[in-house]
Amino acid sequence: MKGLSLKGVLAYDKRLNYGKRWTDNVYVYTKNTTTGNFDRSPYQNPGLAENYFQESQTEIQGHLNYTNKFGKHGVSALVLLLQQERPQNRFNASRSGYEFSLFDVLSQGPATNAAGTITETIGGGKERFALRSAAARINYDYDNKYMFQASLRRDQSENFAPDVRTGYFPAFSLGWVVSNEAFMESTSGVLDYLKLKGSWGKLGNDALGEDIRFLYLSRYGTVNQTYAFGGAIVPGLNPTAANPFVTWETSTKTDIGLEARFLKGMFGVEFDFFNEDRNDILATRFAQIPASFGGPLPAENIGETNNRGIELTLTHDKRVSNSFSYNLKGNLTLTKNKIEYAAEATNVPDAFRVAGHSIASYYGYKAIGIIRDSATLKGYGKATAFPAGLGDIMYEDVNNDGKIDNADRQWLSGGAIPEVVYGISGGVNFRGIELNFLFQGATRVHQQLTNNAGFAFFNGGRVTAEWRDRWTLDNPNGKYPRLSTNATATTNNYQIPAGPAYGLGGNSFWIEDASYLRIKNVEIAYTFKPAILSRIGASQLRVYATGQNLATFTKLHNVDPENTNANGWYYPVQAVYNFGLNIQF
Amino acid sequence: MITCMNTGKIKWIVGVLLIVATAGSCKRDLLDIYPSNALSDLTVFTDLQFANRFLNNIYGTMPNGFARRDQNPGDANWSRGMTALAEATDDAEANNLAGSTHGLNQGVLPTTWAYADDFWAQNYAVIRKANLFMEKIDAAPGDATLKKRMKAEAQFLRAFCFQELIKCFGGVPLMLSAGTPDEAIIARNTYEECVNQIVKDCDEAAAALPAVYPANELGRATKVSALALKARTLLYFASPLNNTGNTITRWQNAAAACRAVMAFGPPPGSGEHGLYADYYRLFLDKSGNKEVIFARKFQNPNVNPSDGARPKWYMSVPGVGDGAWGGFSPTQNLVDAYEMKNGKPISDVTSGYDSQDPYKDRDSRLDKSVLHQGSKYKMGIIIETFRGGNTNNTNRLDSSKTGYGLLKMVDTSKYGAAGGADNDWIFLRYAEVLLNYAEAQNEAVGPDASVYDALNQVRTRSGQPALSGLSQNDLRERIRNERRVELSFEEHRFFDVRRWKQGSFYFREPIRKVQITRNSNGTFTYNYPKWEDRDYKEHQNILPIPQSEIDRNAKLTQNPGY
Repeated sequence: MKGLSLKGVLAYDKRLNYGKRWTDNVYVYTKNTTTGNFDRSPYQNPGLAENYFQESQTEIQGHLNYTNKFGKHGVSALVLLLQQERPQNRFNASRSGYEFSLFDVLSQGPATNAAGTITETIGGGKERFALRSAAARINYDYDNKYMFQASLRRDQSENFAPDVRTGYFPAFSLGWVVSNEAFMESTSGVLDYLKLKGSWGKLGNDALGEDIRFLYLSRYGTVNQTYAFGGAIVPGLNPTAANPFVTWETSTKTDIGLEARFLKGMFGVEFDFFNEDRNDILATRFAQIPASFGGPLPAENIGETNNRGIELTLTHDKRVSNSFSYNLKGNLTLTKNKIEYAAEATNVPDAFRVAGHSIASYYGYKAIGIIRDSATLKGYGKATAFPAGLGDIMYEDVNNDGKIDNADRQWLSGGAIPEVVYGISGGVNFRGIELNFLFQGATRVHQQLTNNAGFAFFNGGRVTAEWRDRWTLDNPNGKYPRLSTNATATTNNYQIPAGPAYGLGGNSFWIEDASYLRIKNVEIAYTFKPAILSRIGASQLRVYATGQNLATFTKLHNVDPENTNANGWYYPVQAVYNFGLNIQF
Repeated sequence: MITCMNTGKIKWIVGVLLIVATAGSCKRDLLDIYPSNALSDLTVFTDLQFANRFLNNIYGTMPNGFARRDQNPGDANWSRGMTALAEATDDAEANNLAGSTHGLNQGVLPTTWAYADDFWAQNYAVIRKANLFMEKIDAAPGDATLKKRMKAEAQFLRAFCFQELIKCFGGVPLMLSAGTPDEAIIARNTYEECVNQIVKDCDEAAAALPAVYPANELGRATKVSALALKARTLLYFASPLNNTGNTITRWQNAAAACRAVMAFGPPPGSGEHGLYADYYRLFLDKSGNKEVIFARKFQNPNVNPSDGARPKWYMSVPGVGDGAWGGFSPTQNLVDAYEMKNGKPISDVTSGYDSQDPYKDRDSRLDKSVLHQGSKYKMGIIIETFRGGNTNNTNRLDSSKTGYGLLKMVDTSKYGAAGGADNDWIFLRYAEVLLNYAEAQNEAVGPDASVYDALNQVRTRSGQPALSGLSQNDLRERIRNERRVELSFEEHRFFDVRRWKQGSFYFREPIRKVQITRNSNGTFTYNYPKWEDRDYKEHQNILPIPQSEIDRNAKLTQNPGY
């Protein structure tokens, strides 16, 4: 049959891994200042560790492909089957305290130390992994104007019970190249290309993580030493959390967009609107199930989130003459994510609920100012776990009960995932002189400073510069609270005012706007003309200078806006300058 | 890798073969993978050996007094054993004043009290496992007699944990099956319903359990364990806190339940149980100790409270080096509760008590329970609590707060990290049953001969003279003091004072310590200053349900006053 093809693949891979570590003695000679001789260090008994790992992977694939064209109708279809099995096993052993350096062999080492305690180690394990998948896809297009694609995946996962193991994941997409329509001919001088497109698709995720791989099975873990009867230690079996219904986490994504180019490519627009719903996210109902349940809680398919937004890209490309051209490109992404459902306790105060807020938001106590004078202190009058005095932060008493405690925690702000990300790049080329640049920025983003990035003297550290404008009796309007050498959990300003230790900095004072604009990349280059080059025998010569991370504009203190570890412990972003010469002969 | 992609018949044959293979025609699905480090519940209950290992694990999950959790929230296992429940009574003080017992001593009992959280969660963890075991064991193939015994063991463990729960919280949700997480959202049962369930479990377990085991099974729950638990449960049920109308039949039932245990006591009983001769060794001897009715077993090297909990209580004595934290300080109040050897309380002017030689001629249990000036401790070291003595260095945070240290349950023959103590935590022992009987019978019928007999058995073991001829009220006081002394530090005082509704009396009394000065001539001057004020509120007779439970289960009602 014309256009039909079939392909089968049988693949077998074997991986072997052997590791050996022999830690031998090395004498160190140290000059003895009194005798003038070199003293030899004592003999360090060698140690040996060996490990062995093997894995064999068998994969079977079947492909059935069909492509054909009937006049203006283009049709193609694909069926794909895949099955994979991957057993592995491992073994490791070690001994230490070898008497000599002669034999780097396990059997030559002692099993115990001089005191008779067993020091050798032996370990081993086996695992098996498998997956099976099938997919079918149909494509149809008519006259390069209309495109249609439909697909269906059938995935089966070893991570789920047989009856919920199979997931079906369909997807559809449609495209319409409007500019190819006859009625658009009148616009062809201006509009080069216009395509409208839309898609809808569903995907599944079975990656639960190693520790809950067998979550669906009621398992009893082995405990070597669980109890003692009659003076002898006995082994045990300990039941673990199980969820026989655990199944695929899904993501459903809808996308609507257009692509257009105008005036022979001088202007371009790409626009997309997307909406993604993630359902059945695995989470533990720790906040909903009482401890009187009595067992460890299994993860369940309960979480729901939504992420929607637009992506816009505008391009401008202009060739003024053979010796002068320039281009500009701007892109903008607006996204908003939201937790639709989370397993929260029934009596959580509304202000403290995570559902309805964006993922990784900041929660805690809302700082409402600094106690600048004794009148304010008297007026504040809230009971707090750690005494609040002049120069300390005041907190909002959400339920107005005169004390600041757990019940006053609330949503404070979005987190470190920006809602708006943008970039502007461009270039100019004039008679071989080039200038290229990239600006990058983000806004509607926050970071909560903690530890060394926020707190004075934290963990024996120093004080950052912004603390110069702190509250003192002489500077009652300082931006920062009073300075204290106590940067631990027991102060009003760093620790939340009451209740269990939710961590340092659980209040809004330390949340800062992390918007930024950064000059990410600038390049200046000159390419010499071939006429000049031929004299020195080169075919191309280009000199250039580039700079990365040249400048950043942000209000965020002490940490880089692109880092997400706001305690100040990360390797900082570096400015990099390069100067170069590129010659080709 | 072999790839077949060419024209002709081969591609068809290979293709069809692969598709058939891929579609899966094997009997056992390739995706049916089983863990290599765990058994599925189908396997566990196909063989009683495996089921037995699960049962072992239930025993191993039993919370015990050596390893109570001191700190909230979350998984604060690092704080196990930092304080002891005895330190939340007038018998002892925690060295760590940030410990959660100290707050309670000041009359502050938050709904997030670490002990309450732990009592709740740990006992329910055992209960779930026991329920699971009881549901599955019947279907397992094997010796029916053995299965019946194993099921009864699980039933006893469940009853034990429910009794622990109700003595803390009053009525609690009776979880009698290992259901789904949502099935845990149920309301509290009444105290009486819980008592009835515990008694039923105890009766059924007692009927199926043997009174003794062969030596290699020593430590399993016995018939007597179940009967003693029932007796304790009924005593609590009859006590003033839970028996506001003072229904006499409840005391009678408690006394009868005690008698059922005493039938296994020394003659005329059948002799399986009795009092151990030496009060100090009693807490250390793990084999053939007839006084022990049920205990949480420990065994070196690895079956021990987590985090080396035990040494946290040991008196910090320079040179002993066994990881001691000096966390446990018995109070002068307790020391004063020990009678003189002649049986008279020290408050009696004719007792012969000398406040300047206070440890002379006292009840022998004092020397065997409390380390004081002149006590002989590990490695033969003599304890010095006078100012500047070896255990009284004011620069050291681990010095005793009160001038006393813990000796009871501390094995002085074992010290150092390698040879740490592994004595058991005793839950139920024969002396308690005798005291339970004396108390119940004295309330039910008054001071008859059997009351004196039971009480005097306990006293005689430690060399205290027998009591006789007291009024019901006077005898009640002597029984209460006997419990305080005999059962000290065994987590009885905390609950006894509550069930007697005497907290406002005992737990409001200021705590005193001993202050000893060595004079230049080698004699000592003893002073007994106040160490700290204490407070107590009546509603604290029952602990608060953990706030996290109220948060997660809307059907729970909090105890009054919290």
